[in-house]
Amino acid sequence: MIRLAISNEARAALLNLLGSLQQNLTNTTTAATTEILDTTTAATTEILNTTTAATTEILNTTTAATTNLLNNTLINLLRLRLLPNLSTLRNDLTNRLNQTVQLSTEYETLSGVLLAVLSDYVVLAESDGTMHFVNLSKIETVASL
Amino acid sequence: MFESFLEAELTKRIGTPVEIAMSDGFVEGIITSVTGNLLTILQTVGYGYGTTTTPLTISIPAINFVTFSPVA
Repeated sequence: MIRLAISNEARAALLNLLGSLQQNLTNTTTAATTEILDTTTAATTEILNTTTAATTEILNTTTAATTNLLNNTLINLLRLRLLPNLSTLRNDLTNRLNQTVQLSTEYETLSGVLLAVLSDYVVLAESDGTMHFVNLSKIETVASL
Repeated sequence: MFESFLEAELTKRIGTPVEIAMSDGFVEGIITSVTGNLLTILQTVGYGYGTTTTPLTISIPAINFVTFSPVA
């Protein structure tokens, strides 16, 4: 152990220095903590704002999409009700899906593979890739080939 | 793959060459618009109805069938 003999003035000065060092440390820590708090608050606010904006956007988009879907479904339902009753013909044609069929209309008789049966028309494909969309209400006869 | 209604399917194909058969005639042209149950085409071949210079409006329920030829 080393003992140093110092005067009272020197001791007081040393103590003073120690005191100011402690004060400095406290001040720095407080400033750093305040800064961290501020940054965290800002970041949290930003995240919250972004999340709120994103959620609002998703909600709006979903609402718009749902409204559209509902409207379209309603329109389609109304149309189906207004269409002449073609359900028997549609059922008969649905049973012949992917078969080679002959469909006659007033203008011409068409032959091809029955690709699809939709609400008011059917899709007939010829071997060369030609596609016919035949109006259900204009079909006069149906025959499988 | 296909739309439920012919009108919607034809709307998807605006700008495509088509052949359209009605009960008593046949036209060839390019679909320019579909509005409600009306289809408008610009005829590319001058027989059937109207002329090639004016658009032809066709009532979709009057169509017997619509033919799309494969792209050559």
